[in-house]
Amino acid sequence: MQALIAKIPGGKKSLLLLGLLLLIIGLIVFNIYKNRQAASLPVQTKQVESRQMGENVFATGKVQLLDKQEIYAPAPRLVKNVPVKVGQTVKKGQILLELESDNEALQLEQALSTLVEQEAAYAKAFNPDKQSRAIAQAEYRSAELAYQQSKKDVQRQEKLYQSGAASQQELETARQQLAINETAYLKAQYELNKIINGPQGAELEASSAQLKSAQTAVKVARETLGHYQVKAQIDGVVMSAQCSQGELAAVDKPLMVIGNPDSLEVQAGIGEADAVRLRKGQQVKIEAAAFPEKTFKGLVKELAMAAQVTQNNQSQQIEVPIKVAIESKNTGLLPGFTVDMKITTIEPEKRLTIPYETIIEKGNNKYVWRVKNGKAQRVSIKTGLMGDLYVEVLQGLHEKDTVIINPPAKLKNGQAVKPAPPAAKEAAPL
Amino acid sequence: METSNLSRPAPVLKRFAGILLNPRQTFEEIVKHPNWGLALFIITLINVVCTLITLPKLKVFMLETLQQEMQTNPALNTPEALHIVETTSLIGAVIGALFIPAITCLVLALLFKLFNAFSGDKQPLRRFFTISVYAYIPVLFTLLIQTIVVSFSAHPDFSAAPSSLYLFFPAGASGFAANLAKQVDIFFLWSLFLAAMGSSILIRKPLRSTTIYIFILWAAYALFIASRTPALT
Repeated sequence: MQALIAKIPGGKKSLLLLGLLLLIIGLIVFNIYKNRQAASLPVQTKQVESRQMGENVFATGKVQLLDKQEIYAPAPRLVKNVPVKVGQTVKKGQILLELESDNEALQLEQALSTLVEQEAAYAKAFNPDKQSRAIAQAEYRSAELAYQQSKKDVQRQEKLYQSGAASQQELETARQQLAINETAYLKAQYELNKIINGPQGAELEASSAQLKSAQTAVKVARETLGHYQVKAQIDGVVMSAQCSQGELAAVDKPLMVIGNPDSLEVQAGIGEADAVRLRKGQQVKIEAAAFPEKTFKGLVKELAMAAQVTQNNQSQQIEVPIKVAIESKNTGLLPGFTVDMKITTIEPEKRLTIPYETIIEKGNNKYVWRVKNGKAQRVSIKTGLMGDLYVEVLQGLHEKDTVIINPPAKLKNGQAVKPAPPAAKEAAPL
Repeated sequence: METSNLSRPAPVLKRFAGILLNPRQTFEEIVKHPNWGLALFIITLINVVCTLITLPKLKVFMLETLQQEMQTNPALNTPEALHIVETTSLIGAVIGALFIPAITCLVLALLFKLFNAFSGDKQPLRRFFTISVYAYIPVLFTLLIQTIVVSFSAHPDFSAAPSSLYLFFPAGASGFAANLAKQVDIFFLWSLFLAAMGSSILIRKPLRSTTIYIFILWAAYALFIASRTPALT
């Protein structure tokens, strides 16, 4: 070693100087490198990735029976009989509830009596008995004979008057008798005609009107009575019964509800911005607080053609009412349950996406900061679908590009940046 | 030759080179001719020039440091506070450059004089001071490296010497270990060793005793500073 050092020009001193020089140069280089590394702005980054992404509209609604019958008391009356119980299956036409209705029953009886009378009169007018017909015929013949006889009497008196055998007064008397007998003859002819052919013209109309009026009165009385003797209009199950025998029925709330528990729908209100994206037949995922582990399927069944204004505390909300049919069977959902709905307006497919936190909006323009070769670049983008966590990028970025999350305000184009370790693991999928 | 050395002190620059390449002989010559004026002037001049070169970057560093402070203390976020920090830091840097070498050398000289008070041949403070001034030469390398590094860096870090062990810590690292590493500067330790060597020659004591003495004091100082220094500095 000593010999080697001796061979170097200047010996040990040169070696020392060289070592010192190398140390200084090394420290300078290392410091500059380290400062440059430290000068790079640490940023959180994320890669542009393709993800399954669709578009959904979220809403909260209430479960309702699809086919139901709500029974209200038409007037405050005593409940006479409740022949069914909650949960009981009932058939269409089955009596569900009877209210006190004595007056209405009496009115029906009176109406029925009137109808019977009217029907009898009407029948008699069109189908007279033989005796009436014979009397009418006899009266007609008698009147006809009297009329013919009168005509002959007038002719004879006229001849006698012309020959001077009868006075003017006798002739006038014969003519008056002829007029009376002619009237009686025409009347008998009319009566006989009416018995043979039935009433005609206005009389016929009057008879029909009287009969119809009696029939209507019966129908009304029956319907009125029916309000107090309520029958099932659909096949279903008694869902609720808010009445008992002997109680006074209130008029402002349903006494009973029947419906099909397997045939449910959800009614909800959708904000105006979302409503325009809804179409009939769109798939709906339904979740209920009562069944947190289950998801039910549904379909958009009905969209109102007009929005409604809903008053919430001190604010107004404009919503479009919709109905969603629940397709799943045996859901266990009960009418009145609150459910959350996720309506798929655009089916999921692979799309280029970036997190919301990467986008900066200025007016109508959107841009992101892309990291390329360790430097930040401002890139204008066009976005498409908006997901829960990610936004579709239509233009400006490519898959595997790296973008800065929550870019610092002081970031400048071309500034050196270095990806910092993520603060927390990504939480949830799209 | 020796007679010549006794009669005429070696030129300052030769002494500077000798301190680095042949320290024992150089200190022996310095002990015989304890002239420190020109040497201290050159050292101070280099210090001031280097400080003036790095002053614009120092200003940026101080403002950035202040901005970080503002995040925890918004009361500092006023134009007046910024102006005060800017002015005082610049003035402080220039004054520091002017006096720090002399003060450091004086402190070292006093420490060795203290050591001398309890042992060995009693020597005047002036000689210890002269030894400390020449022993200060390696610290100029730190200053030189700092100046070059700062000149080539957009956001230099003034919080630690570029030749300290802190170099091996990640940027912005804090805590006791990092603060202690900032105190372990190889050129400053070299300087201490040279001062110990010069003092041992001056008071005719073994090098080991002065070296152990000064490094124990330095270790105590470094530990104290490391434990008291706030994370940001």
